[in-house]
Amino acid sequence: MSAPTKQEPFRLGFLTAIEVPEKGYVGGLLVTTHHGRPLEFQCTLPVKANPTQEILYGPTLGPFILGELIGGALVDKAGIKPHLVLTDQEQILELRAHVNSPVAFVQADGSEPGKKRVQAVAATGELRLGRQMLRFHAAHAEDVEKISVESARFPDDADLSEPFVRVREALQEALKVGGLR
Amino acid sequence: MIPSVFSGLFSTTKAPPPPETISQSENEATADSAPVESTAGAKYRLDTAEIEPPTPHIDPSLVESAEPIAEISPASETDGIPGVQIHSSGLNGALTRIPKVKVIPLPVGAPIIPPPVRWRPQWPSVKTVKICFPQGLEFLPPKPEKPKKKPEKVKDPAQPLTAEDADATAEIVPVPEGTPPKATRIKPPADAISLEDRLFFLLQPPLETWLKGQEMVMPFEPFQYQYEGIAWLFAQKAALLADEMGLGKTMQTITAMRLLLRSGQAQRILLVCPKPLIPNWQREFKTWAEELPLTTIEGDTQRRQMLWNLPGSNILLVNYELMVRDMEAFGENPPQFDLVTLDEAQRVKNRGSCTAVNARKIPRRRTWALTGTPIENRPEELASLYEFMEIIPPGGTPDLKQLQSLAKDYILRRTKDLVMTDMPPRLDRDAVLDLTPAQRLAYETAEKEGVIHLNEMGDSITIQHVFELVMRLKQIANYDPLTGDSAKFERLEADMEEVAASGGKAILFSQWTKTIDWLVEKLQRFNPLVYHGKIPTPKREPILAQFKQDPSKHIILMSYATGAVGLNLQFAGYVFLYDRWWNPAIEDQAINRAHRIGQKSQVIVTKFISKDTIEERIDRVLNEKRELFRSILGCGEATTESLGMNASEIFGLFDLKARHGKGTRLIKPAPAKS
Repeated sequence: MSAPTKQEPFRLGFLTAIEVPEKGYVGGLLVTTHHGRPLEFQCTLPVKANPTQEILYGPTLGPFILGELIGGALVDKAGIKPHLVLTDQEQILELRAHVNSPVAFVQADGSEPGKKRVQAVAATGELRLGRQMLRFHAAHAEDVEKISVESARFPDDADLSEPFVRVREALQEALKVGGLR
Repeated sequence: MIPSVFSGLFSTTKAPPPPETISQSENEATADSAPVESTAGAKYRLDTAEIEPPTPHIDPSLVESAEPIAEISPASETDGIPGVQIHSSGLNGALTRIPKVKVIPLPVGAPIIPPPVRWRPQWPSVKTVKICFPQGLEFLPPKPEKPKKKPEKVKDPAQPLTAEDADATAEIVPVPEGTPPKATRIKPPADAISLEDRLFFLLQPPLETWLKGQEMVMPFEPFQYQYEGIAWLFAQKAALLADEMGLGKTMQTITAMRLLLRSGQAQRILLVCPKPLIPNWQREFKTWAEELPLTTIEGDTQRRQMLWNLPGSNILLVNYELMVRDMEAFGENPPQFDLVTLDEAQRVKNRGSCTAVNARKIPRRRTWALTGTPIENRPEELASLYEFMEIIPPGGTPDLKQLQSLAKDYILRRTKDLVMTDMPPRLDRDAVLDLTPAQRLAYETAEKEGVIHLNEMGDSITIQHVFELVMRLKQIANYDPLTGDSAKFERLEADMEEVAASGGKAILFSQWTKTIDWLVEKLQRFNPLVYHGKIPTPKREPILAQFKQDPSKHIILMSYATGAVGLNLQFAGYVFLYDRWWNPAIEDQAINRAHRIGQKSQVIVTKFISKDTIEERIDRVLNEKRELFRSILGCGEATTESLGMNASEIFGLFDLKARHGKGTRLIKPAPAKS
């Protein structure tokens, strides 16, 4: 994914999934500007592993379904490609092995009053963006530097966890309305 | 060719199919099907997740020796296959099956070719549903923020917002440290049925984020109820914002329009308002959305035609009179809009009126109506508003329950009591005054003569005849035209002494410009300003500015008709109702010019009532009306009675009797024709 120009908005993809009893996982990807304004939303139909697959994949089933299958499909089919994919589910970090965009796990709100923005820490694969600390895929340490260049676009009080609330609400709404059958 | 050394070794399995067949079946093997379906008839099986896929590699030593490999006996089923880890899942029986081995003949010494296809489990492709958001309009960026010289100071929402603030600061109010950010989410409206529509609203960011972001700078921090109002308006295709006067309907509307334009939901918006409010809207747009291009429809017919169709005009502002005139001129081809908003929408309360008919003709996708008095007189007026909003069919006559039911979805009304609990109070006090002797004499003479005259007219009297008498008596209650005596003025003068001494400012309302002109002469030492319908529109704004800025101007005299709506005079702490209007809603509108957001101190409202006059009777009726008004807007048990003074009530102000045989009978207005 090529870096955006200064005039071009930096596009964020907020990727998360919810588990629906007896149906499996439903994933959603909300692509927004760096101000949080939505550009595109996409969600999957439920994806469920059968018992054999659960046995077959064992502990790797979660990262496989969430990261590779759901995340991969959503990013692949996105009409507007995000410059950075953010997720609040650690298992989705696996997606990085299958897409070209940097993928980061948004850790809990680590904001401390008066604390200055921390510079990129490539060694630990972490970067503070707004109120949150991001953790990047261990095998892609270069992502940290790549994104830290864009970090100036984000105000210190930017809340990167908020859009996940929107995505989950949208998924619940889609399930309720019956749009994901 | 080397003979296949494996042929015949696997006596318990089928003979290997031709290479093409094997290749195909191998490719078709999936995690779903292979381990389960292929167990039929097979005695041995490998856990495909734990072994490498078979390779075509053949050990040359095996070829050279050509020694048969020991056949796996059925006994190994129970012993298991050496080197194969038995899974603990309960499929152990299947796991003991011998693996299928693909045999590919290769010439001796041929290079080892890696397997052409890497085996991996295949899942059905994941199906997705997508919605795209329309591209928002780009406008000129707002002015860059001033460099911060002082430490950021958090503006307390409880602190009033004044027009001065608009000039003083252009900064976003920062979130206090440690305070969890507020989040006002846009909810899908009740009439949004499709998933796409509902998700569109659900996926919008919280308003606080949106408005505080660099995309849309707000001059002030809105109050929480204003955020909610903006979010509600943004989502509604038909909306009646009926907040009580002074709660910021204008600001909420402008901001919601701004969001619509920026999110690509609207490109052309028409705003219709009373003529005196045009400058007010222009000023408010400059304050709240300076980047939005606003075009005011004015000038001669040719110029107006050009303005209506001017490309790039996102927001058109027009007064009611010009809207009516131009819509009639457009005939069957009026311009189309994404949103039409009527300010002071009670102007379309009469369905058959020219204004209502022409407003309904404007083609649009969304309709908003703004009014602090959705029911000014009768509930039927609300039906007319609903018809304009296209939520009831043309000519529809919903009953009261239906009106109330629709109100839940389409009306948002908040009162100051509800949302501005920390707003300075409004103190109403009735100044019940005895007329001066000269006034009393004039009043009683006029009343006696007037009633006698009406009685003599008998059944031929009309509402106009009674109305004329009422007006004459009210004027005498204001001041005696012969002597110039006025009990009200004496009281006013005394009160104004206090107001001026404290550096305060007062607004006085009267229904007569004649009374206002008379008062101007008498109040010269308080440097009065005059604002009524006879003042040309271009001169009105400077008068308001002077009243606001000049500390020597202690009072402004206004007519109800011109000054009661849309003006922001929250710097005035005193309101005098020199005489009473016919409708309590209009009086409230007048009072709320001062008692509104931005007011820093309590507002003292003085209502002058002349004792033992028609004003006392009118006041009693108005109080009853005010209670009825509250009950309807509060969804209480209401009737369809008029909220303003109707003909019966005006007749009832006097004891009018006609001769009837030997006695008399009460004179009543003729019943209205259906």
